[in-house]
Formats: sequence, C-alpha cells, structure tokens
Amino acid sequence: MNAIVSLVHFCEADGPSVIFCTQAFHDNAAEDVEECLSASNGRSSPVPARTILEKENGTLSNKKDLLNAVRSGPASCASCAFSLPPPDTLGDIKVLNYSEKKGFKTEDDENPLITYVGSRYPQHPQLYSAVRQACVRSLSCEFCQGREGPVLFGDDKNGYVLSYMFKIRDSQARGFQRLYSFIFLMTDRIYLVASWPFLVSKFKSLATDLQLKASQIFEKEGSTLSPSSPDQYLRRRTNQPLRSLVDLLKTKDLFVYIHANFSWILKACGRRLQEKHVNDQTLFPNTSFLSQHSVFHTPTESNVDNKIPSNSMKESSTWIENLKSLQDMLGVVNFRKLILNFIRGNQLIICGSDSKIIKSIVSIIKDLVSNGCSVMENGTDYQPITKCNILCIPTSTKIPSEMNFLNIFLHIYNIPSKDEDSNKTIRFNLENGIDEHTIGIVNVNKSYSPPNLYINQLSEILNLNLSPELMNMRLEMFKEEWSSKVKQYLRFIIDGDNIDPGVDKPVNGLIISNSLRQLELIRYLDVNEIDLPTLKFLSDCLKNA
Amino acid sequence: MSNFEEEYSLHTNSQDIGNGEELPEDPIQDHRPRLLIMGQRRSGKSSIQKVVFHKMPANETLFLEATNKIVKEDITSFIDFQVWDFPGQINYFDAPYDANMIFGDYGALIFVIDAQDDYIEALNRLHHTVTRAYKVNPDLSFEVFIHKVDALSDEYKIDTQRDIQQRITDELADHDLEHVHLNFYLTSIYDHSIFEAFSKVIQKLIPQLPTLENLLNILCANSGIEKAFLFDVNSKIYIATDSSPVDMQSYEICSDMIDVIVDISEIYGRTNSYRDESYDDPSQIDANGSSGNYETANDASSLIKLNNGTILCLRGVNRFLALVCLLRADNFEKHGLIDYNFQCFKEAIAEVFELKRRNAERAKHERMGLIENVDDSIGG
Repeated sequence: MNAIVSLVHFCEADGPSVIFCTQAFHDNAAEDVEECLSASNGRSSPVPARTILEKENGTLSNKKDLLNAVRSGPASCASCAFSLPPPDTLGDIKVLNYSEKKGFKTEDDENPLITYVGSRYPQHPQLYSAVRQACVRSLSCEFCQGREGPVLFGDDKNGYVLSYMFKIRDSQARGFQRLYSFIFLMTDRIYLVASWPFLVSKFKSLATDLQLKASQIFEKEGSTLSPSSPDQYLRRRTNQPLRSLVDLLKTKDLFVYIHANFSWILKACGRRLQEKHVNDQTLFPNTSFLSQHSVFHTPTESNVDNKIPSNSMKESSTWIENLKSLQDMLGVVNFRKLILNFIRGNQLIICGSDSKIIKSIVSIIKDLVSNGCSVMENGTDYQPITKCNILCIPTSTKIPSEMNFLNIFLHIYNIPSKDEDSNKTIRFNLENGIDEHTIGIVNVNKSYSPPNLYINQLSEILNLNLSPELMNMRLEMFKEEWSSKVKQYLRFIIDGDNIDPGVDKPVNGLIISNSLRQLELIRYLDVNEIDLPTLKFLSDCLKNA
Repeated sequence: MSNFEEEYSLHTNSQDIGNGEELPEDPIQDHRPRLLIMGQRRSGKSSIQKVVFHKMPANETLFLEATNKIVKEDITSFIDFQVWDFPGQINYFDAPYDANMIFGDYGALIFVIDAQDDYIEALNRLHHTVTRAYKVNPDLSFEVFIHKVDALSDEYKIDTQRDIQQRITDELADHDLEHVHLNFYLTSIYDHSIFEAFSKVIQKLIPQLPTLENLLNILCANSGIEKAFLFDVNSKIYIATDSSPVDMQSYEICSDMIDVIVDISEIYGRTNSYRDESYDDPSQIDANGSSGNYETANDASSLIKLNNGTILCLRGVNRFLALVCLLRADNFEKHGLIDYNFQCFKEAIAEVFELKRRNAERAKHERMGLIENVDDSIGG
C-alpha cells in the first residue's frame, strides 16, 4: 500500500496550501523514497505509536534541505505553517537538537523496519507535486454538499485522492471560518474505494475533535473580541496575520496528535486490506457457471457408476454431475480422503487428460468453499501450494519427487472400452495425502480423536436417500452452517489479534493453543479440535473471496 | 392581430434593427457571455457580486467567507449571462487550469483593485492577467474597478485613478500591448457607483445596444425628456440610456425610484392573482415578486414630482425592464403625447427582443433538427 495522509488548508493569504504530511518509510530502503512509501501491513495490533523527535539523518534530511530552499515561499505564512511543540511539553520523549528538527519520526513497535515520517511536504518531487495538486483540487475545485464531508477524485497520473473537507471556526478569519481538509492520496483506486468507510469514519472523528476544540475557543473569544465598528474590524484583520492551527486550538502538541493519528490510519489501513496477487489463470473461471448448474439442476441419471453409461455419453459426453456422483465414482473411502485433504488446506493435484471431467471435478469441489480458493486449470508445470489450492495438470507433467502428505494426487486414466457405444471407462487413483485415521494421531498425541466433523456430516448427507432437489438443498444448508462457523472463527482470530497480540495464535491451524479461549470457542462452535485446520482453510477462503 | 404584428415587425426589421441581422453569428446565441471577476484577495470581488446580484446590504459583506473556488452564477434577465467570481489566492493561468476554458468565451474580465490598500502588487497581477488573458482571447473586454473608494476624498480618488491608469498603460506599452484597451471605474458598494460600473460593463455585452440607445434618443427628443434610463429591475443595472451624458445624481435618483416602486409594490401591489401568475415561471418568482405588475400588464407606471420642478417617471416595459425618465414639469403638460410615445417605444423594444428570441429559437430548432437527423440516421 502506498499512501500519504495529509492535512491541507485554504489559507487566506496563499490559497490552498499543504500543512502537514505523514508517510511511511521502510528503513532499509530510505534511499529509494518512491519505493519505501509503503505502509506496514503488520499482523498485530496497533499499539499507540511511540513518537520520537529526532533530527532527521542521512539522505533524507539532505534532500529536505534542498527542497525547503526551493520552496521557501509559501512556508512563511503563519496560518499555514506547521510547527513543532516546544521541547518542554514533550515530557519523556527523547529530544535531540531541537532547533534543527523538521518533522516527526515514529517507529513502528511491531515492525522495526517501518517508520512514519511526518513533515510539511513529501521529499520526493513527484510526490510533492501530486500532494500539491490534490490539495489545490480538493480545496478549490471539488464540491461537497454543505462543503463538509468526503469526496473522491483523481487520475492515474497523479493518484487517487479521498478528501475529507471540514471547517474550523476562528473569530479572526473571514466569515469566522477556515477551510481545512484531510487528504488520503494513493495510486490504487480500488483499494481507496474499498477503504472509504474506514477512512471517512476516522477522518470524521478527527475533524469533529478539532472542530469541537475550535468551537469552544470561538465561544470564549466571541465575547471579548467583538469589534466596535466595521472599519475597525476590517483594519484589525488586514494587518494581523491569521494564527496557526496550534495557536488557534491552543494545543501545543497538536501536530504530534495529528501525526500519531495519521500514522495509525496508515498502519490500520494497511492492515485492513491487503493487496493480493491472484495466480488464478482463469480469472473468472467458466466452471463457476457449471457449478451453479450442479446445484440447481437435477441430474438425469442416478445410477452413475465407475463406468459412465453410454446413453449419457452421447448427450453430454463425460461429465460428473454432483458430489454424490463423484462419491459414487471414487468410492466412499477415496472420496472421504479426497475431500478431507482438500478441506484441510492440502493441495489437490489432478492429473489427467480429459479436460471436461477435470473441469467438472474441480467445479464440484470448488463449490464446497466460497470462491476464495485458488484454482489453476490447464496448468503445465507443477506449482507449489502457495500458488494454488487446486492444480490441474496433464499426465505428462513432471512432478518433483519431494512430495509430502500436504499434497494429494488424483490421477484420472481413460481406458478405451471394448463396448462400441460407450467409449471410455474412467479410473481414478489417489496418491499421497493424509489418511483419515492418521490425522487424529498426529494432532492429538495418540489420545482419542473424534473423527473429522466436516467430512462425517458431508458423508451422512450424501448417504441419505434423497431426491436430487432435496439433496442440493441439504448441501446448501450444510455449507451455510459451516460458513457461519467459519465467520465466528474469523472474528475470534481478528479479535484475538486486537485484544492481546501476545497470546499464541493458531497461525497455521496445526498448533493448538492451550489458551482457554480457543477451547471455549471450539466448544461453542460445536466442533472438534481436529476440525481446526478445516476452519482455518475455510476462513482463508472466505477472506479471499 | 398576430398577423398584423408579424407584418409590422417584418416591415421594421430592416430599418430599425440593422445590427440585429448579425445576431446568428454572435456567440451570445450559443454561450452566455461571462463576467469574470478577478483581482487580489480581499479586494471585494465576492462583495460586489453579492451586492449587485443578491441585493445583500453592503455592510453585511464584511462577514463573507473567503472564496475558495470559482463561484459561477447564471443570471437570467433581459440577456442571460454568467458571473464567475474567482478566488484571489489562486493563479488560474497556472498549468493545471485550462485557460482556454475559462477565458476563451465571449465576455468581460473585471479586475478589482482595492484602492484603500497598497495597489502595486495588484497592478502587477493586473498586468499579468491582462497579458495572459489577451493571449488566450483577444476579444475579451477588460474592465478595471478601482474599488472601495468610498473612504477616499474626491481629489484622492481622481489621483488614484490617474496613477493606476498611468502605471498600467505604461506597463502594457512596455510589452507592446498598448492597443489593449482597459476601462477604469471608481466603484464602491456603499453607493451607486458599483451599479453604474456594472451597467457600463454589461452594456458592452448587449449587441442591441445601439438600437436601444437610438430608440431612447428618439423618445427623449420627441417627448421633452431630459434623461431616460432603461433599467433591469432586479439588479438596478441600466442596460441603455440616451446619448446625453450621464451624471451620477440623475442615475442615483432613478435607481432610488426603482427601489421605492419595488418596495411599494412588494407591500401593496401584490395580490393573490399576481402571485398565482408569477408562479408560472418559478425562476422568475423573485423578479415578479419585486416588480409586481410588470409581469401581467407591463403597464406599471409611477410619477414622482420633485420640489425642484422636475418629474421622475417610471414605466414598465416588460417583466425585466423598466424605463425611468427625468423631465421638466412644464414638459409634462403634454403627457398624452408622452404616453403615446412610451407606447411606441415599448412596442419597439418588444420587437427588438422578439427578434432575438426568434433567432434563439431558430438556432434551437436547427440544433434540434440536427439531433433529429442524427436520430434518423441511427434509426435507419
């Protein structure tokens, strides 16, 4: 995530001007300013940022000196000046060489590589012009109903901007009001739109806070500072420059406060949404339509066997209609193993040459989870599990030998049949993967392990002798039931993150924390410990969807 | 009746409204003329706009906020035009702004200078503005308002104007732009000077102005009228006057008379039936409300006898316009003649604007026709 948060002001003397910017830097790449403008996406909670005032060192400050010299013009005006709090107000914060300071530097406690730098302008010339343009445009072009509130604008060249405009009361300003705006500038429009509710709510509360302070001061001043004549009133104001925001709000550490808020917004925004590169080669897999098909349409045959009857072949060639037919074809044991492995997050590799049958299998299996699992159809080379959950490759593809139980292979062989009408017989072969019986032993240290709930429930449903419509309905309900469990689990993980980052988290689902909270959750969700990897996998899918 | 009118108007077209023939080429048909109000910050641009077009009391303009973006306002009146109020802090000739979009259209650029302040910086800005805007659009007319002169003595006013005029013409001459003509006005929102200045600016945007002036001259000559103004009632801007010189007092007293009549008709002249009729055109409620009977009959009239032997006479022309005349009491003895002349004048004005309306309609029909053709071709 590349973003800059900034406070801008329509100054009565200079027009639109940038007051303060906060951006994130990666320490190890301070040289390359453009690239290091990425916010943290740390996984743990945002603790109150430790603000350290420091003389900026190294390349950063050199650049800044240069740029400040170039743009000395607008900085002179008091009303749009950014100022540091006097050292005595800072308390225990480390102060170094106060007079030469130009900004704030906040270190991320959780990710030592990231620092948030608050200064008047961004150092990079291109960023400066982008911020400047966003500032001018948001204050003097864009219109928001009531002139207070959020607007979104931008283009690919200068980035996209969310601007939250607000007014602050000032007894000395024209019209007793001064116009400010928080702007959030980034290059990714979709990300920005997705972050809209979060950013707007944060900006709004920040703005309300400032407005409240200003109003209180305005009320106080209003009684003492009423001009006796219009003329006097005018004269006084023309000769007196407007106060800076610090003086206006009578808050000495105002910019520390703003910087802390901006840093937190940058960090939290990075945590909220993460950009993910999807390796799915078919971005909108056509199989998704077919999977719908299997849910809503009734299969024409019920007597699907290992050998597909010839009359169905003529109509729709080789095709597996639904879960039940898949189970019938694979046999109950193999079917359970296949589903179990997939649902625990192991990689499913399907080798075969018949693309239609592969597609149908993929669509059926994929349908079990929400759209979030990554499928690579028509793959040619082996891809590791980090790239895709389901991989379809031709039989000829070479597979690295170091396969472990985290992969499961489904080989599909076509055997020409002797029968003239039906052309093919299909044989399945499962390799690798974990067995149902081993799981319990691996995870719970040889104690008694209840069988995996998910697969048991699924098998039970499939064994019911229901009409196809009812079966589909029942399966949908089953999926719903699990997805609600997964949602609670996800909430639990997120809350756990936020409340207490110190507690062991079920990072990959295999580590079962001793914490009582988790046991409680398991009991509450009515699942077994053995189902945790399943929950984990399903929640990942949900997050990606 | 309508036949007769048509014949009559066709007959008079060629004689009276020679310049009306050129209307179709005139940009006024396509775009509203623009009044661009520019100048240094705090020079009083928004105040002028508020006082002239919103009837804001002058002393309330103190509490206006700083303008932070271009405020565009459509004025619908005898001619439609746009007023653009610029924020003084921003240079609109900078790269990110499309100068062609802003200055490219037909209109006038009004530059406001605060005469109470040090105006050297404003003059630099004026020079910059004029040179850049002239480059973009040489047809723009440039008007300089030397503003806030109410606090200056008469002598000082003249000095200031001369000084400013001298400096800016010198500077333009230095840059080979002596042929760019600037008009200077001393203005203040606390008296009528701002209305007078605006009147002169707007008159330049009216293509029918020579015709109107000619009509007024004929009227004055034949009725013993000393001075006649054709006012836009809403803004108290006069859009034409006869060719005798305008002195400030006569303009002020005529303008005040409009205020009096508007106020009186606001209180007593408005009846329910008027109100109902005026609601026919919602955009004009204000106009009708304030000018009461202009809407219905266009025969509003009022007469005020002054103690110095002159008479102020107001006649409604149409729903936007009113004619206000100053004449000697002895000349008013023949008021039957005056009434008749008024009637003729009113009809002539109606024809002038009827022609304009018809041209506009024809242009509109042509556009519609084009659109229909396009539709046809798409359909076919």
